[in-house]
Amino acid sequence: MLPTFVDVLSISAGALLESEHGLLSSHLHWAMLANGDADFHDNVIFFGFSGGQTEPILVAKVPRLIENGWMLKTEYDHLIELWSCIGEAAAQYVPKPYVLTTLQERPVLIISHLSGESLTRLARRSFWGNSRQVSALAREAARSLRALNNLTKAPVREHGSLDPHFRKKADKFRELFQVTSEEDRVLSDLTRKIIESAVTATHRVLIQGDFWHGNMIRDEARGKLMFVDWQFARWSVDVSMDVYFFLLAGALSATENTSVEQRAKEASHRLQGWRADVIPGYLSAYGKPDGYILLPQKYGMLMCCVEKAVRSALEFGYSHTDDLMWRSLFGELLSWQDPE
Amino acid sequence: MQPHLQNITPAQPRVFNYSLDWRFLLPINDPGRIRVLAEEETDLREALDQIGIDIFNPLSSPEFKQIENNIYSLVLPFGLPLRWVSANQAHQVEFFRSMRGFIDSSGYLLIGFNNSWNFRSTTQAKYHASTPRRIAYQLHQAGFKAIKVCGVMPNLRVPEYIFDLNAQAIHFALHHRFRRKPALLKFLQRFSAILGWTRIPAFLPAYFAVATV
Repeated sequence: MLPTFVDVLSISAGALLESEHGLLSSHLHWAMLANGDADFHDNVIFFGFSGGQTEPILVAKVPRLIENGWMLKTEYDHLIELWSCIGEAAAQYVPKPYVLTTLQERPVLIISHLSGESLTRLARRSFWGNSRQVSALAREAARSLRALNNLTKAPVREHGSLDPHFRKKADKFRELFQVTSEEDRVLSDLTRKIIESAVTATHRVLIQGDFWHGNMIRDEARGKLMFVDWQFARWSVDVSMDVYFFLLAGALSATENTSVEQRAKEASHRLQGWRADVIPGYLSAYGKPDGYILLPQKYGMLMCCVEKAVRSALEFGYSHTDDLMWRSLFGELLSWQDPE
Repeated sequence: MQPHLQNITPAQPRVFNYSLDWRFLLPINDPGRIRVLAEEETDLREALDQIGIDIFNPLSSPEFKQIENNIYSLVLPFGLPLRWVSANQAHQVEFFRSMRGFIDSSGYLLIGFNNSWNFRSTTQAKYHASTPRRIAYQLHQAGFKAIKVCGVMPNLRVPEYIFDLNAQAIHFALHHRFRRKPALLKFLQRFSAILGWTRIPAFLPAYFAVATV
């Protein structure tokens, strides 16, 4: 009898629990959560339960398509790096990576479970429409991000230069979307600005690459924010992607479920509304980067839009419906005025 | 559509209407040995193609020959099709028995089905709903051996949650799904306090049952 995938996963996870925790777990129960609806390029997540515990004892991530195993490899490598870089302090921010293995020819990443509440489904109106609540979360997210950045900060000299590869992303953006002459000019300016800024950096940090509230969990015991889904993490001298993506994703979460153009307009309008309190408070809570780069607001937000609009095409070789939204938001934010 | 959006590279498909995550309840390393029996739908066929799983048509005799001596799993992801099987219990047992004949002795049958009360389901019009107890009984009657039933929420097409029917997994899935609906969660907690967690599975919207030959 061929064992089922879940049976094989149970055996593997049981052996892991025995070696990691000295727990003899003859049988694990599972709850499988589908991430990203039916998107074949996403993962499914297995929460494993042992004994009489109400909280999962571990989490196993499995890609729907074998060829997307690279995402788990990236996540595993960066979690390992984080843990070896900052030691046990990592437990305050991220899951512990146990093993990246292959079960029935499929890559499987097994990590610790973070007990707490995911912020994915913060209510569109009651939360994102309330500047006071958004401000509080934004400041908290900024402080946590900064603390984590400080922990991974390392001199660039030791690791050689870090090419942000933004030119490639800008070129892909031009290839995928029709851009106006003004947009083309802004893309060139942005590319130049990013490259010039990178040269001045003396330090690099590990950026999460997908830093939005959906990848945050509020730790049950300490009430602190923790960060999951590190598959787009990378070392960078520029933290703009993480810092500004949080704001843009929040503004988009506040929009009605209408056309992508309309959502981009609404998000841009929301961001304008946050100029007075949310954004200054957020950036102030993050603080001035020390040795690495944080682009001015307009450049930083445009950089996020470009990266998000081309990510599916570059990473997976296909276009995602959200790509158009990011492209539209890029157009909307061209008129953004940075504060004096 | 605005002119600046017209030039996007045609999206290579994309997000299907079917997640096919029931695959993980089976041996997964050889999708070519899994067959799906369901009413034909273009989107379902395309999703299956993407994974390398074939549709199984029991009325096609060449298919019968081809699958002989093959180790594979047969999947009825949405239940027994109304068009092929009546609501009669004996008829359904007989259908399962005939399906068992197509599956290698080391293979599996996986059947998804809506709970009988789940009238809102979109697949209800084409497939028989059932209950875990009834399906388990029918599968036993048809000769299947070990039978395991999992809970499914919210539907069989894109099940966001598939979970073992034990207290921790059910509790976790319900809390995760309804964490932003405190009133509903409170109701569920009271409900489970009165009935006990062991009774909750009877009220889930859908299930997958996996049976060995």
